[in-house]
Amino acid sequence: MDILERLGRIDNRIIYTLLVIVLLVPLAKPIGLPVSVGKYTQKSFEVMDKLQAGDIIMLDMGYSISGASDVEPQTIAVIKHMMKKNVRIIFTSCVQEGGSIVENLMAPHEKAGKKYGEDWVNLGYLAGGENAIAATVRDLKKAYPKDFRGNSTDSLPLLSTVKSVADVKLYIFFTTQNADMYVRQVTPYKIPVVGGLISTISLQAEPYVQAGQLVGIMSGLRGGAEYETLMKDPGFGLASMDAQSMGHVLIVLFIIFANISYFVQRSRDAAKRKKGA
Amino acid sequence: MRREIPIVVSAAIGVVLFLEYFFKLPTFSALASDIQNWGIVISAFALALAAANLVRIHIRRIGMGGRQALHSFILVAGLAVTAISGIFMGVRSKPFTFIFDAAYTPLAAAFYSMTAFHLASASYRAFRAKNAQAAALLVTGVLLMIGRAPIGEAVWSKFPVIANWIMSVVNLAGSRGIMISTSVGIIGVGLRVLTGLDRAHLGGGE
Repeated sequence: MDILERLGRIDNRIIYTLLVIVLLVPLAKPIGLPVSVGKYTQKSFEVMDKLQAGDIIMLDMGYSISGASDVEPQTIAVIKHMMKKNVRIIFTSCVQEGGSIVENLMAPHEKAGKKYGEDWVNLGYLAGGENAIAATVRDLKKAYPKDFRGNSTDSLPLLSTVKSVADVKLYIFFTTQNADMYVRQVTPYKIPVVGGLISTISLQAEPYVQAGQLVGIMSGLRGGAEYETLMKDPGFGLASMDAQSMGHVLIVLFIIFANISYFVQRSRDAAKRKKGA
Repeated sequence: MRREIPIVVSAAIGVVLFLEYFFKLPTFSALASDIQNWGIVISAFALALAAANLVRIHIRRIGMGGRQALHSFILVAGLAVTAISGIFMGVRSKPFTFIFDAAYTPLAAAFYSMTAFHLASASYRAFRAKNAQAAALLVTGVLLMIGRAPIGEAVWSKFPVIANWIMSVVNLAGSRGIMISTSVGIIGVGLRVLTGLDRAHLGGGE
């Protein structure tokens, strides 16, 4: 077997090892490739940047830990942005892990002085998927009699002026599922809605942005990196983009190798057949 | 009656929610809110039922012995420890947060990360320009991989423009077609369920 044939039969172990190397090296030593900002992230940032201190927004944590690597950098950046602007956040969740994820993400902000119940609340997980979202946006306290920490929602000052989603300035969701259920249940309340989605799903949400039902969307890891660029506050999103670039380059190189090998093999087979005939 | 009552109940609930959603009738608003909250309670019970069923199946497997028994034991033990710490000590207690942060989070993240390796291997083995359609898929895939990553932009400024055009025009046209046809299908199925023509959700093989 010559080298050209071998290029088409590379062992999985070699592919995996090279992938680990090209992902780890840029994470340890970032290259700093520039990241341009897409129009949908720009729109998302603009609507959130216009919020004033004291405004209340609702944030639904719709991603599980398994999908966090793609969506969490966006979530961290948005929370950081909102906390910096003294915007108050009501966290809800339609996935089981949501409540615990929120506690972890808010821990540094709580340490920095943000008061639970006044600056933010974590209502935790509500079972029922789309039905839970519908019930939450319709009547928050009825859907959530207690928060994630076991407090009665009637006792939380932040919720004193909020009955439904119509009483908040903006609704934002981060999800590993698609945007359909949020569009169906939240947009009738006529408040701006922004979505943070994993890159493979975000394509399905683009028609909603074009139709004006969503103000903007952020797409996967790149969306997080773009948001960090707009905030001028580099974080994990930007750091990961170099690794993603190198990973993509490696995969493309392997695809090229495989195709060179395939065409060489095919021409050799054709030549053999011709000779045989 | 075993079939008629569920059909009448689901039709009545469907009609109330439908009218409330589209026409915002105040008469139905409170009722719709209650129905949605009943849905939440039913979903919570469904989760408990699923957990009970999982335990039942795996306890039976443990009893059968063999290699699978160890896996089933780990599953049941993990479920029991997590549930006990969460229910009796609270979801913010040290044992529960330890399980979440030190076991569940890294395991779930590692599980998802494996897709990167499968993706790399599958792209290498499957993306071969064997005919015109496969070549089109290959070229589109490569352009998107390069164009959506910062390296593409660093190599040639037009890569992101091409990638965005593929996403916003070609892909969106296809996505929109799928979305519209799926929605029409869902409306059809919804109407069949509401009118009792579709009874598959009631079981019984009909």
